[in-house]
Order: sequence, then structure tokens, then C-alpha cells
Amino acid sequence: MRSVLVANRGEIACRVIRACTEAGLDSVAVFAEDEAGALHTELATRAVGLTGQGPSAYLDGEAIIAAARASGADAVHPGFGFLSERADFARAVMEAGLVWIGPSPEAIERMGDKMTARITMRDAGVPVIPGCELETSTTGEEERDFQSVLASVRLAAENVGYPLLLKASAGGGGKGMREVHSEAQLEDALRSARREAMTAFGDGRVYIERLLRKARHVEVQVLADGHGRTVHLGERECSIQRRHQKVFEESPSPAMNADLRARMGAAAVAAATAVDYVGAGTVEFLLEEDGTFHFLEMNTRIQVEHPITEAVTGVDLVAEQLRIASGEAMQVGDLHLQGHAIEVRIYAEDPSNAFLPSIGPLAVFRPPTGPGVRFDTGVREGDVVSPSYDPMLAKLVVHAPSRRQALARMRRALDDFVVLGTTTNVGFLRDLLDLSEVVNGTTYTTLIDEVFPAGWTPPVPSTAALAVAACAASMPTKSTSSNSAPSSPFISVARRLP
Amino acid sequence: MVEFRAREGSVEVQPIPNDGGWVIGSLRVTRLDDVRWSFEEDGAPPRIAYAVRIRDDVWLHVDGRVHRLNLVEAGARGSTEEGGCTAPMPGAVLEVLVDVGDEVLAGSPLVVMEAMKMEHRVLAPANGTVAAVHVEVGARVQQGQTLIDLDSNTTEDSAQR
Repeated sequence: MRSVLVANRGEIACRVIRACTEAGLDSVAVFAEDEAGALHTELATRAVGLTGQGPSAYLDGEAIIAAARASGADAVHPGFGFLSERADFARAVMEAGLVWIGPSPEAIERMGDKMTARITMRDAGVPVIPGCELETSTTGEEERDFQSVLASVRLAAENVGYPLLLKASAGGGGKGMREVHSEAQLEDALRSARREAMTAFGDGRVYIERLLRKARHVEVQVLADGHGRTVHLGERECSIQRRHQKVFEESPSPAMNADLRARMGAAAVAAATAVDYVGAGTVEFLLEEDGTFHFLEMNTRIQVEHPITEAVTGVDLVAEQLRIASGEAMQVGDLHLQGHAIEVRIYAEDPSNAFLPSIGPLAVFRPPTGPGVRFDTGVREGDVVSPSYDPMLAKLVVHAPSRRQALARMRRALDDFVVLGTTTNVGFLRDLLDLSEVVNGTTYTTLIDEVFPAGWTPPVPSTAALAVAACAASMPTKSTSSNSAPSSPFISVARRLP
Repeated sequence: MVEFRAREGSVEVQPIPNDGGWVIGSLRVTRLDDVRWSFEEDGAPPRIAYAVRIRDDVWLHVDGRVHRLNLVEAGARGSTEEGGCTAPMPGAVLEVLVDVGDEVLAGSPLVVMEAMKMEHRVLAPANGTVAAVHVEVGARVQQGQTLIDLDSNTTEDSAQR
């Protein structure tokens, strides 16, 4: 392996490209037409333009394999999102004679279908959420077919008990999922969940699980190499979410003890071994207050929040992915967790307006620095946040000897972070860090909805703030056109040079 | 007078130019560079703020918090640099928009400058006649360097309305 094409964009593309450079490998970036000059294209050894604008360019597997061939790359790293969990893409990469930096297409398939994963895990002795798989047709367009599905769901629901979750087997990201609190809601929920799953995934199969309230989302990092070794690297607590997306993650979990970690770690290793997993992966669990845990799903790729595991274990996960893909044994010793790490996700979104994505120029963008602070991003000052892509701008990670010190460090880092020109969630995250549930570590997945039922309100500016703003108002307006229409040709030319 | 929209109604602030900076009540504000500002209150140690104006908004980072303040009366305002015709920051001259002898109105652009990817328009501080042009397109200028001499038709500094 000499040259790795990174089939992604933004901060994860930058993360992988930097790991390649450190490993002595060349890297190839790809970019959509509207992302020429983006940070990841500058960091890579070379950059190849894709046809089209927006996310669809990064989803064109054929074009990406062609770019790998044309640029002399001999391996493909998919990052997360986009093509990272598409078994057909993994297969096509391998058939093109390239190294796929990820698990086998078979492992992706067996974990990608939620119902298959559930059955596989249960057979491997991994605890799953009490529930029931259902033998149903994938289409279910006809009313007679629907009635037979409804009958079997109703029967299963009585055994599982209400409230329950109705889930599409092909689902993900909250799509095709419905909470059902009583039998009266079942028919409507089934109809809409199947319709949604058919539209989004072309597959209407469903299963049911008991709805677990006030449960924590705890996931275990696993790493497996081609030499028969599979290890776990401790857990990540990811309970704080908004719109089913994580915003605050930490490691270790405040709910963890050595015995529970050993049991959950063993379950995660069993899950990976059951599908002959190779590479880095994450096994997600729901953890109940009494210490009972249940398999939720396995993510067959590098995870957004991987840096907190890197901080507390000292293992460079992306470097290990590269090492494992090139056929070597992993270089990971016994598990020793050191200190406490926290990550927050910096989104271009408006927390005072239902967390809707925001756009604008990054007129001033000064990330925090200092001891124990890591900042992973794909943007820099002067870039413009467009509405085309995922609104995650960056990940801010802190590491400190204790949880209390890590919280203090994160507060300091958020206070130091200056972003002007685009609305972000930084102020919201800062308030989140003062919540007693966060300070005490008693977090759960519905925390944000319960603490901010009417949304978040931005702070009122002080007299001093208004005074400085009034002085700034009399200054000339800051140009925001440098990206779309450079006033000097040298600006755009300099950006494209390596 | 600068007026910002507030949750209810609006807030008015009147910065008074003073010794290279501004005074607002017991506050003293100084501009450090394109985006950084220093302010001190009643002899307390000076603090730092980041502020930029983008169209009709002032974006501000102070004491760890970001504020976006919407200007009520948006539009061209005169540069508040003393004399109004000096470079507000070090940078390059992109355009010179006037010639000697031109009659200009307060607030009309005289020179367009660029620094750190930001474009700045140096505006006429008052109605007047261009007496001299000291720079040409492409010139590198220092902060405070005189760009244009203007013979004012009036003694009133209309930039400070």
C-alpha cells in the first residue's frame, strides 16, 4: 500500500489524509465541483475533481474508483457516512484490485440489515433488546398483505409489551422507526413506518423492540486484525443527543465500572467475531439504570467520536486501520484507560431555532488551543458554509486527568472559540456543560428535549458588548465574497497549489 | 448614533471618538486590528472582544459568548478614523474611486482596500472636494497612512451622526 484515496470530505477526510502522511503514504483527495479549494484538497498529495455538486458527487462509487485508478491510488478509505457502509461499493473497490480499508462486504451486509444483525447477535450470545423479529414480505403494497403483517405484529406486540419501538430492518437515522404506546396506535404506526422504509430503503420489513426509557447510549470500540486478534478499546458514552444525533460524547462513561466494562467489552468482541470482522468498528448498546445492557447495532466504519477513545487509550485508530488494511498485525497493547476525554460536535445550526442548519461566511474562525485540546475540522477562516452538506463544522475534544477537569477544560475551550459570520451551537454547548445532569454524569438520550422544552435562548448582550458592537458598526463591512468571486485572481490560484 | 434591534424595541449607543479610540459612558474602546478590540471599564483591566460588521449585522465575541446584533438603520456610514481618509488597517489598495477636484458627499466611497481577505471601503467623512490623491491601485499602505486629502465644505463631521 503506497497511496490511499480518501472517499470523503470535510473533517474526516482531513483526519484520514493526515494519518496517511504520518504513515508515509501518499493520499488522494476527491472533491465535488462546489468544493474546489476545500481544506482536504490542500492537505492531500493530490486532489481529483468529481463531476457534479453536493453530496451526490461523493456517492458516485464508479467515479471514485475511476479517480483511484487515474491517480495511481492502491487503496480506498471511505471515512464515515457517504459510501462507508455500502457493501456493494466495498465489493467494487476490491474487484477493481484496490485495498478496501474496512471490514469485508459480508460483514457490512450482516450488520447493515438490523434484523439480521439482531439474529446474528442473539445466536452469538450477545444480549439484544427484548423484542421479536417478524417474517414479512419486503413490499406489502397490497392491503391483504398488510393485514397479515398487522396480525403478526399485533401478536408479537402482546408478548413484547407496550410501549414498544417499531423499527424498519433496513432503517437508520431515525427513519422507519415509530414509538407505539398502545395497541390502538399500532396500525397507524405500522402503515407509516413501512411506507417510510419503502420510500427510503425500498424494503418494508419491520421488527419490534421494547421501548427502553431513560437508557444510556453506550458504545464499545473494537479493533480486529487479519491475524486473528480482536480487542475492545473501552466505551464511549453518547447519551446527549438532539434530533437522534449525538452532540456530546465522553470516555469513560460515568456509569461504567471495571466489571461492567469487561462484560460489555466481551459482548462487543463476540459481536465482531461473529461476523469475522476486520478493522475498526463500534458496537452500540443501550444501558439501563440497573446495569442491564442490550445490543443496538454495529457501525462498520470509523466513528465520528473516535478521538475520545484515542485520547484515553493512546491508540491512533486511523493509523491502526491503515496498518491492518496493509496486512500487518495491530500495534495495540493491553487496555489502560488514562484520564477522561470529552468531545462536542460543532454544528452550523441555530439552537434558538429548533437546531436548524445555518449558513454564512466564517468571517472569523479562531479555534481554541492549549493543553489537552484537539480540534478536528475541514474548514478555516474565510470559508463559506453552504447548505449542501452536513452542518458539522468541527469536533472539539479535550483530555484531562479527571472528568471534573475535563469539563472545566471544555468550558474554557468553548469560551476561547471565536466564530463570527455563521451561527453555531457553541453557546448552546457552553450552557449544556453547566447542566447538573452533565456535571453529575447522569445523562440520558432525551435530556435536551426535557431540559430545553421550549428551545434554547441566546444570552442578552451586556452594555460593554453593545458599546464594542457600536464601534464595530462604524467600521467598513467585512467582505464575504472572497470564496465565490475572488477580487484578486491570486487568491483562488494560491488555494489550488499544494 | 448606532441603533441595534433588541428583543423588545431597540437600543441606541453613541460612541464618541477620543484619542484614537472611542468613549461610551464609562467605557473606553480601542481597535487593535481588523477584528480584535480592547475595552476597559472604570479602571478595570482591559478585556478583549472580537467584532466584525457583515452587511447589516455586527457579530461579536465577548466574555466567551457570541452575539449577532442587527443594525436598525443600515447603510453607508463614514469611516470614523480621524480625518476619514486614512487607511484603517495595513493592506493593499484595490481601487481608487476619485480624482483631484472631484466633489464628494459624506459617506461616498473614496478608496477600496483589501487585507486578510477582507474588503474595506474608505468613505468620505464629510461633503468636500478631493485636494490630493496619495495612493495608486496596487499600493501597499500602512495603518493610519493618509490616502486622500479632502477640503471639507462643512466643519460638521457627518460621519458621527
